[in-house]
Order: sequence, then C-alpha cells, then structure tokens
Amino acid sequence: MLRETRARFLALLTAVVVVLLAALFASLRNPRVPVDTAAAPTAMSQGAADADVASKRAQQAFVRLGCAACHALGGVGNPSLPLDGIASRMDPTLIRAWAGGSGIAAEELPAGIVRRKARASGDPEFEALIADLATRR
Amino acid sequence: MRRDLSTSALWLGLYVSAVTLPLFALLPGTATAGRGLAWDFAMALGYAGAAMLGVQFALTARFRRATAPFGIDLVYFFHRYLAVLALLIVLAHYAILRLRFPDALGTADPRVAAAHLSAGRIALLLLLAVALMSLLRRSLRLDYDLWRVLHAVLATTGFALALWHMLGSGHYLDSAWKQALWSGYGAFWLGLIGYVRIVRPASVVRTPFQVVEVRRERGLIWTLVLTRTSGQPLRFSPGQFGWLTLRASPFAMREHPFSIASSAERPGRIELSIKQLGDFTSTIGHVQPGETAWFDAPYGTFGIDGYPQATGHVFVAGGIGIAPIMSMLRTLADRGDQRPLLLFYGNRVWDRVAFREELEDLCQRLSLRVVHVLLEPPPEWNGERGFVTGEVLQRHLPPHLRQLEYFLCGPTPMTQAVERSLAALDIDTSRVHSEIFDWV
Repeated sequence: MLRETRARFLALLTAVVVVLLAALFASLRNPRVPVDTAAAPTAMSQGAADADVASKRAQQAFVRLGCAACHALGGVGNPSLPLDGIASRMDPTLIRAWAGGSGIAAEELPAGIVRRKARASGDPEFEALIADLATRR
Repeated sequence: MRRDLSTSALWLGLYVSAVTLPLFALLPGTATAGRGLAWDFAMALGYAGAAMLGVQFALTARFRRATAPFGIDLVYFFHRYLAVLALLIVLAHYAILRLRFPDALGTADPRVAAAHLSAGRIALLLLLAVALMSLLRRSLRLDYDLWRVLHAVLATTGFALALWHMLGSGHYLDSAWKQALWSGYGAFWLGLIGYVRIVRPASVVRTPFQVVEVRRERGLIWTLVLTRTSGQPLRFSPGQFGWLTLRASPFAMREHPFSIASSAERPGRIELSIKQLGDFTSTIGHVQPGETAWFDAPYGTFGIDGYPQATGHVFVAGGIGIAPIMSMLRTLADRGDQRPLLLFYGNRVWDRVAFREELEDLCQRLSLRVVHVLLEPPPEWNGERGFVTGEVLQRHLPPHLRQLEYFLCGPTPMTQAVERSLAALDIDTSRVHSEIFDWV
C-alpha cells in the first residue's frame, strides 16, 4: 500500500536520523577519544594496582555492593563518576563519609542513595574497599 | 502538491527537532567530558528513545493542523511504526549497557537494585508488552476496547517510569536548568495524555448527537443516522471519518472509527454505514432511535475535495469500503456535478451488494458508470467476476485514464493489488489516493 509504505519509510528515515544524531552527540562529547571507556587512561596508569590481590577484592566488593551503578573503578562500572584518583581529591575520612552515606554525603545526596550507601557500610568488605580507595591517587 | 510537501517537511523537521534538541541541550555544562563513545552513545539513544516515545502521545492526539498534510490514518500508521523503532532504540540503549557495562547495570532484583534502574527495566517490559499487544492484537483475539484501555494505561505507566529512570540516573542533568528542561519536557508529554483523555473527550461530551434512524442495508450493514442534539450541522468533506461512541461515556475510551457515508451537502444529518464484523459492530443493529451518541469528527484527508481541478474520478471499493465513496457520490449528486465518474465495486455475492439500488439511481443523477465485480456471481451473471484486477480496470477505464483521480477504499489486499495495477498502467502515484483501513 503506497500510503502505508510512505508511513513506514518516514518512520525509518526519522529513526535513522535520530540514531545518527545520537552518534553525533557521543562523538561531540568524545572529540579525541577513538574508542570508548573514558576512565581507561587513569585506570591504565594504575594498572599495577589491578594485579594486587587486595585491590581485586576491593573491586569485587565495589561491584557486589552496587557502587558500579553510579561509579567506575579500574574501568569497571558506570564511567560517569570514576573513582580512580579519588585519593588525590579527598582524604580517607571524606571518602568514608561519601561511601557510607554519612556526614556531608547524608546532607548532599537523596535519601534513597544515602540508605543504600548506609547498607553497604555494614558489609564486611566495606573497610577493604575504603582502604583501597584511599590508595587510588 | 508542492505546498503539501513543504508542510509535511516542516512537521517532520519539527518532529526530529522535538526529539533531538533536548538531547543536545545536555552538551554544555560541567559534565562535558566524554565518558567513552559507547557509554555516551548508549545514553544518547536512551534519551532520544524516551523523547520519541513521548512524541508518540502527540501523534495520536488528533491535532488537525499537524495531521492534515499527511492524513490522520497515515499519522496513526506512522505512530505504529515509529513506536516499534523507538522501542528498538531504547533496547539498543539497554543492550549496549548490558554488553559493555554489565557491572553498571548490576542486579535486576528490584529489592536490591536502585529504584531508578528498576523503573527503567519495568518501563522497558511494559513498553514491550504495549508493542506486542498492538502488533498481535488480532492473533491474540484481544478485544478492541480492552486493548485500547491496556494500551493507554501501560503506555502511560511505562513512559512515566522511563522518565523516573532518566531523571533518577541524571548523570547528564548536572544543572538545575537541565533538570527543569527534561522534567518540563516529560510533564508536557504527560500533560498531552491529560489532553487526549480528559480535555478532548470533554469537548466531545459538550456536542452530543442523537440516533434518529437505524437502517438495515444489504450485506450485514447497518446505517446509523445521527443529528446533533443542538441542531448545529457537522461540516465535513466527503470521504472523511470520525470516532463514534455509543452506550458509553466518551471518557471510557470505547470509541471506534467509521467513515461518514452521507452527503457533505446535508451536514445536519450524518449517516454511518457499519458492517457487522466485530464485537462492537455486531451491536449496531440493536441501537434504538433516540439513543445518545458521540461522534468526534471530522478527520482525514481522503476524498475528492482536495482535487477540485480533476477532470473526472475513478473509485474502487471493496465491501464496506463503499461507505466513504457513497459520501463522495451523494455529495457530487447534490452538487449537480457532471464530470465523468467510474466506480469499480467488488463484492462476494450479488445479494450482499450494499447500496446497489441507490447506485442505479445515482447513475441517473450523475455521469456515473458502475462496474460490479463479483467473486461468486450467480449463474446468469454477465458482468465482471473475480477480483478487481488490472485486466478488469483496463477493460473499463477511458482512454484519458492518466488525467483522472483514483480513490481506493477496501480490504488491504485489494487496495495493494489495485495500486500495483494502476502503477502498471502508468498512472502517476500522486493521482492514486487510498484510505488505510486496518489500523490495529
């Protein structure tokens, strides 16, 4: 049917334009990065840490406790808020507050996120994670 | 024609802008550092897909100015295909994250997962259900009225959850104005639902009709005659249609689309000829004169009034597809039009040829010739038999066939076959007009 074919063509054309504009959006945000994972350069610069057993345990805890939903560590997780190099921006006390949803984090973050962070702070691996983050410069 | 094309291009441009400009509004600000092509592409697909789904509500809001250049039947089909493509774009958003960043998605267990991520997953499932129900409604034998309610409820819930997911993720909404922009954008689309479900039905309620006659026609067809309770005429062009609500409130989402079959020159008396096909249409015969009806009309661009310079018209109707064509013929007769007209009318059996006696009368009032084509003709039949094929068309079309306007209405296979036959006869596609019959 000519009109149905026209509707199908217009819809397909629109979808292709939208996908191309989405690709343009991504390329505008990554002008000099030919491949993905923006966190990779920092992670690679600390690649030696990946070999460390304690660091691996911390990274496993990072994923298990759900931190990866919002953060990346060593190229794992959501690259929006990378934690590589966090120790150069925060001292261990502040890292603990933000990771456990206490102090300033409790004031700044939405209640739901604070609750999830508070739950994570009771985990046996939480201290190992904090210790690892404190070494990430 | 050129004006139509430029108007169509303008509306399409507006559509693409509505979908993608809010995306590019996210570029400036503190979060401009790239997070990798794959991540940013996935996010852009998510935002654009959500915007496309939002615009879906506008496509079915029946805005006359926006739908006029295309025809509202085409817009509904556009809505249908675009919804599937928007869903594929959202699925691509999810698939890229699932494959490249599985740890960022984490567990699907809603008791443990972040609420906005669960909202996104549920939205995806609901929208998938909406699409599958629409594409498979007939196969699933899902009642039309029930489908409409489910479609509206699930689509609205799914879209609201998608907005929650987007605002909850919020990685690109790093400033108050961006949050306000996307919140406002979402609120606008949700407001449109309010317009469609509350404001427009309210305007329909204000102009009720009354059933003044229920007439039985040949071929299991009932003609419902309506007049406005206020006595005010309903101005329409022959070939247009509207949404009829009977024995239910216009707010109940139990409206059904039907072509107007009566003359546009008699706007005080609206006739709808409805074939007994489904649950709703089977009840038409039980409707009593005096009952209240609501008719949201007129809509559509199918019809002769868009081509006033035409030297003549050819109509091809199959079964109940005759309804809008009867409106055109009755209108032309009332206007005293004497341009040459040819009607190819396909039916299964002679006894069920609706309006055949009236068509004989119209042949006297108009310069009209009717070619009946029967699938199961009686033994003494001398006319055309089978389907309206290219050979049938060639036998009856006049020599100046390329100067005429063609109007097709009937079952989809018939319309497709006739369109192919007319193309084979070298008739310009811009002269071939059809009404999309089966929407869902």
